[in-house]
Amino acid sequence: MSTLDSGVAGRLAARTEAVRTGVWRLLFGDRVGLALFLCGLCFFGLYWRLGIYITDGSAIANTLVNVADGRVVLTEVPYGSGLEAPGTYIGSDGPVGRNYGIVALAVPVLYVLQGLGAVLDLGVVLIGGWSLALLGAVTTVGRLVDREWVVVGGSVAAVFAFLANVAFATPVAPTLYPILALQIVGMVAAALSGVFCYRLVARLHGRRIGVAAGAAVLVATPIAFWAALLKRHSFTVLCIAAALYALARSRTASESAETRRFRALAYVPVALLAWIHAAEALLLFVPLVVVDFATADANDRRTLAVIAGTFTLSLAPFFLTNLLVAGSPVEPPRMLPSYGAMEGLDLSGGGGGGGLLTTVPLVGGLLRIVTRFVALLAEGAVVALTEPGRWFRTFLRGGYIPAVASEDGFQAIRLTVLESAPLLAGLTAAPVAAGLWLRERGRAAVGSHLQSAAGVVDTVALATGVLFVCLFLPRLPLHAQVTVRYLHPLFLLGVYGLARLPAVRSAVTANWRTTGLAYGGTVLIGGQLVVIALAAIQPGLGEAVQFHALLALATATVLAVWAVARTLSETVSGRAGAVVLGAAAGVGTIFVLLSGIEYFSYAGEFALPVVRWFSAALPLA
Amino acid sequence: MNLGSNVPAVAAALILVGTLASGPLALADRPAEQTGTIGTGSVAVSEVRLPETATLQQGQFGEESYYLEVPDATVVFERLEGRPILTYKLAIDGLEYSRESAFFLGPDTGDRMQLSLERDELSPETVQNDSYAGVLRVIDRTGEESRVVAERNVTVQVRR
Repeated sequence: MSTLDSGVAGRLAARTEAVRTGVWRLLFGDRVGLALFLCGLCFFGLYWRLGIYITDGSAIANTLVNVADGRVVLTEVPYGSGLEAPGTYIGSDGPVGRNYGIVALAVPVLYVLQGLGAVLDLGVVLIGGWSLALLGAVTTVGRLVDREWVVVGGSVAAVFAFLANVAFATPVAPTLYPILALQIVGMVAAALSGVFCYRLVARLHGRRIGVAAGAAVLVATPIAFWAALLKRHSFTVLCIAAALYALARSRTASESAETRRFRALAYVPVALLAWIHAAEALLLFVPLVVVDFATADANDRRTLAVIAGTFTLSLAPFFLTNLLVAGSPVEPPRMLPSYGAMEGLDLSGGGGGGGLLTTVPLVGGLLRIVTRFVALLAEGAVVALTEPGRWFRTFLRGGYIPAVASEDGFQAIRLTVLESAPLLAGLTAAPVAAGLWLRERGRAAVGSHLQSAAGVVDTVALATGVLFVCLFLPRLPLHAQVTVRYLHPLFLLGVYGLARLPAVRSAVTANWRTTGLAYGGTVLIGGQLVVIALAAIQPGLGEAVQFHALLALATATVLAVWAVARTLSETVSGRAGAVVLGAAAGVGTIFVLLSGIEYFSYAGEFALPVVRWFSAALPLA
Repeated sequence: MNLGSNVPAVAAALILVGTLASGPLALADRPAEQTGTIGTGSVAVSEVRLPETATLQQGQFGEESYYLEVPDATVVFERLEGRPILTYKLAIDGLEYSRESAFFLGPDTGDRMQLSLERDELSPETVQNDSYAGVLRVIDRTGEESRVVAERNVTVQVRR
């Protein structure tokens, strides 16, 4: 290539290189981040089913089909019950969809898929893409740990996986392409959530615990479950993770220009989240803006201008979309009257007059939104404080709830937060740790801690989590949730909280290998034991899901006891904690894998044909 | 030669070439059209074995729904032409319940076939008795009119 190195080509190459490193550093940070990203994608690919899992997916796929043709209004509705599909609204010029932010990201992916599908067998392309991701993952990991056998063995395995899958590849219908595009951006968002969790925790407490936290988000929580299932939740989690990371960077920066830049950057994911789900963006925005400005070293005019400018600019797609969809820049799709049956967050206040808001002046409209929103949150807070049963059924043990199960086909296929991520049981020690900290350092230390990077992120994370609970708890428990997906951000925030606990941190970093072995052992050996046990029981879908729930609760109890004991006394073994943490993460992974490969395999044909064979070979009903 | 740096490149090349080759290969590998329309032809059955009982078993681990399980039926064919359709149906009048599963026969079908009904869930509120009377049928649904091939009264036992 050196013969081409003339002046122009050289400058162009340098420019491309600069852009490439820029994007690379923005998304992954370093090679560890890249390794986590690729490992996450490969993991999600294992149970990637090409199709729509719950009915809500139809509306967003319909939206994509139309946006890809250059329309915000839905004139072509090939999926689900067409315009009746939940998530379709009455816009100013006709029926519209929602989650336009996700749709916009999926459009270029759809074009690429259509292009590739025109000349190649798309089934093989997907297998090739997955195999290349696997190759990239093993190469990156192998070089990071400096083990040549990982690189060589992994490369051979990737080629073998490619050949084995291609041998059974089946054609992919072009009608599936829009769904695939949405699934791909969803998986990328979920994988990046893990990367940003790693970067956030690594920034505060070092790489090792950062990797553990990032990996836990990717493989041990419902974030993995929903990665490819056409819902917005992965994006919500990603935006929160990215905002918290930028916030942490702004507080650890050495120069004021860098502080300013990262403070401004923290608001970009908030704006993008607004484009996807405006109400959820508010839940992140309010704590962020309050805590950020209250704890910043300087809120001078220039800083204000940079932050306000960046935020407004990043909100442009949101305003523009609303203008096209609803005729008003501050009226997101979800505030429009629903076309069919209502699902999700109803901010429209009873539906009806869709044009009402547009006729009210902008300020009046905003005021109404804020009032309605505060009322919803207040209602949630009241419910949270007065209905302990709802807490219990949402966070601890669900089981069979007649009103919910009747909507889930009379099956108890709904888990609680703890049942779907037993790892979060470690958070039981958080109040204990906080109490001890207070007794040791006194109330005077609280102020300075809240100003620190960790303190700032803690406050925003906690407040955002509480607000999410307030907004959604009144509607929970609910059907079609499986893992309480409305509270999806809690899984990210929970893992972050775990990594902040000194007991957990020291146990994992000091017993790195034990943690990994416990996790691997739980997944590989424990997973087989679970399959054997279930094969003997021959459970129905609900029984299998509840079996996992009980298994998770058992592990969670042990973890909670250990975390509290270790926080109270240093004499409690850290190694034991590493084992319990690894096992709890493993139990989460087993559910994600078995649910994806076996219990909910009806969501579509597997992207990897070998998994189809494996799914059929598993002796479970 | 540095193995660690060359192997991934070779592997990537292999995967890419394999992917690119899929276009032309897929064109050459179009499946042949199936002959005959589903739901035409005829079937004559010499023997049908239907189970005596079915069960409604309450779930475990906190799942309170009842799983309705019906053993398989065996059908022995005397003669089979075209692509006829048989269905296996359970009706429980006391629960106002019925469930039917279709089987598409054709040249690949052997001289006998197991007909199965997938497990179904019933809500705990609906299941009150200790047993219910049901009827199992094998129905020939080829063509316009359907014809009951075999019928048997079964006891659906409730287990809690």
